[in-house]
Amino acid sequence: MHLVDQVGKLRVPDEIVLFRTATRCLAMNSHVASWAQLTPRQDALLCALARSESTAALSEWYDSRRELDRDLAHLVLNFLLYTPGWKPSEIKAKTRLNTVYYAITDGCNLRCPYCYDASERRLPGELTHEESLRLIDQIAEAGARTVVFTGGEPMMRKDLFDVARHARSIGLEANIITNGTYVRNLGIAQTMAEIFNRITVSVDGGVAERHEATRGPRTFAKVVRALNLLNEAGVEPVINHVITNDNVDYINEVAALGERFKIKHVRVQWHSNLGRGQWDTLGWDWGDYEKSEEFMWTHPLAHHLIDESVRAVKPCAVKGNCGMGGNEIFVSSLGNLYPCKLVRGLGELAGNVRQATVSELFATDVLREMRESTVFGGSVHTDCDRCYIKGACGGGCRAFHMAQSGDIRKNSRQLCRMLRHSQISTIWRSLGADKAVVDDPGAFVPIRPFDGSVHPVYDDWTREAPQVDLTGLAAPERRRMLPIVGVGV
Amino acid sequence: MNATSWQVSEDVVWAGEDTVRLYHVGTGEFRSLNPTGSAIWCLLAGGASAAQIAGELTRKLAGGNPAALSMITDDVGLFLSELAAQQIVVAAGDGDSHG
Repeated sequence: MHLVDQVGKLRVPDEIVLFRTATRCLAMNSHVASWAQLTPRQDALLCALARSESTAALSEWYDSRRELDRDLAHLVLNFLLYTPGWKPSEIKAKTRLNTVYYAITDGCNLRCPYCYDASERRLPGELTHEESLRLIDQIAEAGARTVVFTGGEPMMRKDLFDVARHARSIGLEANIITNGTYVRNLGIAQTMAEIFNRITVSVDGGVAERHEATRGPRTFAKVVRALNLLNEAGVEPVINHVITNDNVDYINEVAALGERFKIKHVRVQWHSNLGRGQWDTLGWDWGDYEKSEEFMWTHPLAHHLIDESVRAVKPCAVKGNCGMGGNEIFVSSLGNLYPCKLVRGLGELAGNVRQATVSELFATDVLREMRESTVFGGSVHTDCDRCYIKGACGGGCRAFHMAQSGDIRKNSRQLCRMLRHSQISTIWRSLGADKAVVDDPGAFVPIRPFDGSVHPVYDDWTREAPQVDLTGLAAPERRRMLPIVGVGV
Repeated sequence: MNATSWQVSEDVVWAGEDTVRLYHVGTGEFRSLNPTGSAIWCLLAGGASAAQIAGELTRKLAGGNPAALSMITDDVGLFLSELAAQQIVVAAGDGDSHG
């Protein structure tokens, strides 16, 4: 049966919103993370159907039933209109373990002010070499595909390469996140090239002044040396860049690293108040975000950057959550297993790998709760369901929310504001929009087709209570920031 | 595989990338394509010929292996012929013949 013959029974889902500029209209169904551009007539058709206007009126807009049928099909095929009896299947989070982050040491030779791990010296009670090997075996037995060695600075651990080699020997992919200072010669770079599938190097600025402002004196020359040596060894590393209010004006210098070195891309992460970041003088607010957005849309080197907070550019790639406690987990240097490297409160501790296997800890309620909660419902995502980008956003990084709201289960409205804007911005970009489109005041304003009102979530950030300002307070000692648990050493 | 050059019928409205969904305005029927069919479809809709589609899939799926190219060329030809039989694709230059 043709759609045109069912027009009175077609249903516009409640989740639909429209973004209208002077030249374009984007429609989005947040429930299934689907979107499409509409012609003015398709826009009017969708709104008329949402308001249940008479089918006779609709026919008057079209010269033929065939034209109306085509426009109805465009709406149906993009999940902006549901056929009679159709509804999206229940969306469940991916719960298969894929990646384990292992902080093989907490020791670090740098003192980056925003370090989420607040790394300093090596902690007493680190997993021994034998325990680390056993952990790697358990990670493989639990079905994971990748182990990411992090820290601290993982290169400070003398048996790192042996542990990573063991991971490769049993079929795991091994990645590393390093500050690069220990890549001192070509031999080390070649060994890393041989062992690791992916090497990520943290860089805070594209010139010494910016990089060393957070990473300390003489660190820029060392990271440049590392990138050169890794390139010489045939490695194209990823660059991790924490963007802050202090370096956002110089993001072009970081992007230029993509011209100077062979890199996969620069992975940009917004500064957050996690770890030492709670007490540093750096930050990330809407004004800083707007600067980075301007750069991403206008600068010729912006293609080197990937904004880590926004990745979905394909319609229907529904993201139920961020993956913590399911797709990925974290094991600390002491063997504590958490849902994520950024979520490490006592309430989120699954247990210790000295006392239970990774598989056993993966099955605990604390992780199950995390991985089974989605933006469509669950104890962790308590107020995502009403948002108009939920299916594409996945709720954002829960730790980043927690850093601002104080509760992993409570969204930060300021963060949501940026996530929503950047998500819509990315979608416009994927549709080939130009800067004039996103500069249009209507490009980011979600209009409900049912009554033409602005979606109530759009400006909810204006009603958020200001967060407590911790600037100027002394940071607690490192050990006070760690959950104290018996590790049986 | 014959040398017919195909294009998407103007009777077809479609959407999607990984899973392409189709609606035929002439018959009122919906179809969805599996991932391989969707990959072929997206290349066809982008203007690629059957030979170019086979070459691209061979590069992506078989590292350009010449032995695989022959097999993939046959499969692409068969798939497009099936779509042609349902008037979902038409001979190039014949796009509006079913309108």
